[in-house]
Amino acid sequence: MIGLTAVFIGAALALNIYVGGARFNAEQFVPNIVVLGITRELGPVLAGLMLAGRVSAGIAAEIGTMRVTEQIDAMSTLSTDPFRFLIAPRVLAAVLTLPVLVLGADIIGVMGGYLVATGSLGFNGVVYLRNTFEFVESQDVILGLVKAAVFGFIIAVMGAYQGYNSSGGALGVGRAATNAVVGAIVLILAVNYLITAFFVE
Amino acid sequence: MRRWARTSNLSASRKKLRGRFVLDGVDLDIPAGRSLVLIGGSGQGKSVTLKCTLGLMQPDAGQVLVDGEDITALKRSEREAAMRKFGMLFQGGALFDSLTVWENIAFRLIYADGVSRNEARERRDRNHEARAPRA
Repeated sequence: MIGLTAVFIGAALALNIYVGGARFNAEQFVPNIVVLGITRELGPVLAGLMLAGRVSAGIAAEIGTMRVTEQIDAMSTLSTDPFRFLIAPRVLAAVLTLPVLVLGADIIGVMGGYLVATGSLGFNGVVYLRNTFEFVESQDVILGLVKAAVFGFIIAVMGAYQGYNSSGGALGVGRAATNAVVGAIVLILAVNYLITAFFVE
Repeated sequence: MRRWARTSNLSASRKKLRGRFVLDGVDLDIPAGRSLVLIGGSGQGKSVTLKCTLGLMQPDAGQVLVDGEDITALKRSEREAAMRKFGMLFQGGALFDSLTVWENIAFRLIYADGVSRNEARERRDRNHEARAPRA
């Protein structure tokens, strides 16, 4: 799913940059700006938003169901810390896996731009890839991966928080899932700006 | 008769009820070896009383003494140890639906006591053999 999103975004980005660049004879910068936009911004943000919809809601629903069916209380009475058993593994998994997904999304997104640029914009494939790899710096990729890890943390914590504090039966679980998705999306976008501003400075 | 658990001036409010006190100054003696039944209508605070007594919910004020120890003043880890003195059967069963039946039964052994799954299985088999009716 993230791969599909990335390939289409990379393709659309290449088209838009080509159109914009043509206005001041800068069409040749398509590969440079595509790789910069994908690795620094669109790869992590889009992957984060997609996973906020899937994973954050899923975690909130799972933990929320356990809350309203008293499974979390039962866990406490059995001397098992719900945080260690339910929340910590999910947070750790999200923090570790999202950067891997974003790395894949970066590659697929760049390839989306490559396909459009070579297929319909008349770019030479070898030149496009050489410009891409010569322009991108390791800090661009690292910035994207740092963002991804932070977004993974936000997604899992928001889902777990909303689920853990849910109440009111099935209605409450649904509300928790909705709140988790909305909260995670807003936080991802806000934190994305802060991380970018921090790295730029 | 030895007193096992005692609540003193227990009061708890729940935010969902707009700050209305569900429990207000509840004094309850639970003697060892005796059964105590709480009866009341829906929303009268039976579950809140139980959860406060077990340490699942923190009262706004008051004490809960279990074997003379105030569990409301305990840290989280100490409260977990105090909970080992209780067993609770939840209204809806509260079975862990992501686990198998035997994992539900062996939950405390595996996840709280750190017994390996193989060891827990062996104990299950030993108990099963010991309790199986003889032909």
